Amino acid sequence: MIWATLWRGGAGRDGCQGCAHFLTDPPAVEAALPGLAILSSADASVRGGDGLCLAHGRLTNGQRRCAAFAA
Amino acid sequence: MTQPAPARASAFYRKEDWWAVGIGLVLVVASYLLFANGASLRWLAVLPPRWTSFSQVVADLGANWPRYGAQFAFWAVAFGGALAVLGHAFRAFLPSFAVVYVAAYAIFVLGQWDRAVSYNLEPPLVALVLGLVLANTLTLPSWLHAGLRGELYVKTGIVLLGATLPLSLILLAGPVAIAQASIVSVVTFTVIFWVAVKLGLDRRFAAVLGVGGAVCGVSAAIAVAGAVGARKEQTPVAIAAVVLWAIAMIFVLPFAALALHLPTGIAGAWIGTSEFADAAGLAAAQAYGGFAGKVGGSAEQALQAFTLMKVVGRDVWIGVWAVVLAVVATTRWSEGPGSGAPDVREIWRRFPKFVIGFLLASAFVSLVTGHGSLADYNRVEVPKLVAPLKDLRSWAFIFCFFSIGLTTRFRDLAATGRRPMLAFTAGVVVNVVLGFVLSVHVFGSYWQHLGQ
Repeated sequence: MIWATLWRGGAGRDGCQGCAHFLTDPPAVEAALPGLAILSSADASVRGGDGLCLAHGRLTNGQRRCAAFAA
Repeated sequence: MTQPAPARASAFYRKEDWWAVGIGLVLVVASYLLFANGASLRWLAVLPPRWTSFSQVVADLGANWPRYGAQFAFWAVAFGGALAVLGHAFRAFLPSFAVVYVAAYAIFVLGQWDRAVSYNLEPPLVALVLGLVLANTLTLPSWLHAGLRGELYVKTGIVLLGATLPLSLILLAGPVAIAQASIVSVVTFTVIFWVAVKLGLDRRFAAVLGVGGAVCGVSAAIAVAGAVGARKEQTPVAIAAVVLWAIAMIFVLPFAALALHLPTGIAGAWIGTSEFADAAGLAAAQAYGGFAGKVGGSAEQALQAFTLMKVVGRDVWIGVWAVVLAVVATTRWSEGPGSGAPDVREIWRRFPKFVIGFLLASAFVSLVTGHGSLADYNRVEVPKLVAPLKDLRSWAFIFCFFSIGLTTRFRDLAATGRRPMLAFTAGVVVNVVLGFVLSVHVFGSYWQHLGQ
């Protein structure tokens, strides 16, 4: 099961993109995570498509849509 | 079936890594084209002269101010343009970057003083200390923050560093660097994770702390925090632990290596193994390179060994760490809503793309200079083709080190708490000792003769 999820890319089209709670704007992410811009950056490749889930208070790769999704 | 629209933040031109690759490679290719046509990029790559009397600095500025002006304009347009596409305001960047440039010039002038080495006034350390003092004693105006983009500057500098590193050296040294870095990374992560869990910290938090100490500092911490779905308040704590130790190690590692009279190649490998972030490690390695003459080896060996160890040995694996830990988090640790899902494509998505620029720059310069003798290379190609790129790299690094100092406001960092700091510190101790043993005793002769 996990290998199928891993291979098809998380939850595919049912991810967090477009959710009102999913914060991905780099300046907003840097403001939410103090110190991030000292030795890294929210514009860096390593951040991938991560964002901050404001509904659950987590940093997440946004690959799994949850019941709190709000367009 | 409809496919999801690509995330705006995931588009390649929305990542600073690709802009660093672009800026660096444009300079490398421009340097070659000018060289091939009997000219040189030297005019743009102006540096303050070595001086014994300050009147020499004044005379240089009087004669070369158009070159400094052109160089400032180039950097401002290149970095400001990249940041504008990334969503930052160019008009806010420009005045702030002007301050950074003038400060970098002053730091270079101090570093070019003929007695600077006697007082350990290495430009990277001066830039960092000056920035730290200003940031933590004064209230800096908010407009100054727009130009403090240390990560963009350091990535551009690393791409330019590739132009001074033969591809054959990377290919030969890469496996050794990867072997040494892998041993230290796995051991350090295990120690931090184990201690953190034993102290009662959440496993996701322990993983974020672990990669922060074992792989590539703050960048690794945010990558894995997103991959495993760490809680929002945990990431700033890991960032604070990394920043505090990384800043301390910028000063501790070079002076410890100096006290032990380590050759520059060995010290560079040790710093590459035991520092936590690229920019912090480059500051330490470049500062140690300035001790060449007091210790064996050349200044370039410190930077080369550091870069091979840190960039090739550690940074490129961040995507793999993120995916593996995401799988472990999903299958073994309790899941909460909003914790994401593993995705194998993140190995590429999170790959630090500036490493590609570093390798391309190395391959390009190796290709265009590989047809002649070593004597010709040192006599003709180094001064006209490679040296200007090296000097522009030094500017980019000083922008970065000064930016790090000015953005490190200790009062703004999250309180780390005793248990996270204890777990991280356990990893630091193991990392530094193991890194020393491997760099000095196991692979010492290799690093000492790097590139010779």
